[in-house]
Amino acid sequence: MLTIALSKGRILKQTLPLLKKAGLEISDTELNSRKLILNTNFDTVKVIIIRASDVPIFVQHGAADMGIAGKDVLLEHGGSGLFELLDLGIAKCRLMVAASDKAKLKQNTLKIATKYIHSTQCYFAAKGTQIEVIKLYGAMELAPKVGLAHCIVDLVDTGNTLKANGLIAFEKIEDISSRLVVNSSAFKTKDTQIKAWIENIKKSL
Amino acid sequence: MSAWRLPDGIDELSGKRAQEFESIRRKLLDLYSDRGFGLVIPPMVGYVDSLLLTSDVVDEKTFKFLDPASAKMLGIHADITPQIARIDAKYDSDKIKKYCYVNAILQTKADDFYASRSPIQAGAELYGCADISADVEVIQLMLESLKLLSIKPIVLSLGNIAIFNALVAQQDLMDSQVANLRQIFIRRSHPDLALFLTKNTLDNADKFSALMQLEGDARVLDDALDIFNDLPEAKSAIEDLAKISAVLDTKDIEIKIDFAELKAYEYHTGVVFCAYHQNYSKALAQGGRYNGIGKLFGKSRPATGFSFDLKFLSQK
Repeated sequence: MLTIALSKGRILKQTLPLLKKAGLEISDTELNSRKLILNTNFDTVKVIIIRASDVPIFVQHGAADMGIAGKDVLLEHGGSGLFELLDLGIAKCRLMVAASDKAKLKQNTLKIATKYIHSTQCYFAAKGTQIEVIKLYGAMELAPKVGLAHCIVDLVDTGNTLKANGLIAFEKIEDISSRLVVNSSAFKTKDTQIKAWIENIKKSL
Repeated sequence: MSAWRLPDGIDELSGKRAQEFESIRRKLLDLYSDRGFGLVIPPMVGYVDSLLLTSDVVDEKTFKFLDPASAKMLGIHADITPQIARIDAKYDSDKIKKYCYVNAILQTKADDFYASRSPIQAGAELYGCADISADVEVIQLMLESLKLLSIKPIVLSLGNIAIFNALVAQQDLMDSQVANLRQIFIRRSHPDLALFLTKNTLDNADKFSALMQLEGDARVLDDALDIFNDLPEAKSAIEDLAKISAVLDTKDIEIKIDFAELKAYEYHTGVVFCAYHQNYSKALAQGGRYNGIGKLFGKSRPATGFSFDLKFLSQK
């Protein structure tokens, strides 16, 4: 049995057609059900659909053998126990530093609102900038407006949300896209099955 | 806070579980003794330099504090291998020495291999023999240890860090670039390797890419010989793996060759190995060669060994 963890939301919409092209299908009945473990057109493959940030944790601990998650959540997770075998090239965006004005980025201690704590700390440590991170779970763009932070670090796709809130993306931390990750033990012990699916997915890219 | 609570990642054994652990510990030590491995019980605390050797990873994992008596930094052992290297260096002999241990260690954070911060590390190490027979001996002992723990069948992954090290040595890379490359290989990140090779111009870039792809059954050895035919270090590294694969008893063992297998601890120099079982989400036991590990203590000689978390495996 092979269990694949998929990220909910935007990534899922782009993942399902990719998997279908690779030969793995999940029926609408399964997708619309309230079941947490979904059947596929293969008896030997199950799918779980969970929060994107939970995908690397499920795969690391072997609750899923493979998973599809954004590079942003993999950077936060650290990648322990995972092999990152493919860039699927879907759900592309950028992890950016944004502020209302470039001058706001020049502070003795830069206050940054973000949910990407690890990536933010690594990026500014490499630049030699002292920062204070304020962990938020959403509505990041609000933080500079209400004086909670000097800038934000967040995913930027079209940039429309930033623009609507008077923010400009000044620095790119990382290009983001979805990656196929595999549990390091499953890669050895279920290699025949896993490698076959990787090849199928590669061909469908 | 309830007074009975333990810190995160710290656990204990009691009742039947403690008895099971002790029963297995005794059987293991009997096995190691039968094979000529002498028991050592290293101290829990040592001077920081002697506990870390050159490993940044061990450094990050070691709890440290100031010793008021000596005004020096002390550490609590996070890995037993540097202590065995120190013990081995004390003996004024070039003879082969074999050591075994079962010791509680403490780590600042859990990792891929040790799921808790307070594992009980069991292992065996062989010093003074550069021959492949030493690697075979410790691998067989590791497999016997897992058999004693009733864990089978095992997937044994064999690699050789010497090829990665030789490819790195061909290039003029900064320490930070090498550390980055190591991390990319440990995470087996094909996309990140491609990105690294785009950003950094290496004239052996294709070799690094090939190295990450080289894993599978014994046929991989022939592929490796073709790909690295111009790398002097590679021939013996590949032949060593072929010899080991040929002599190991394959009952309940499936051997995989994996040239991208790097160990988290930077002191490894040659053959490396890991044992996996399909019911476990991480490697059960691991080890490899770390020639020259005792250099800091004034005695640089060949060494190889393995270890595993006995507390974790005895509870499954």
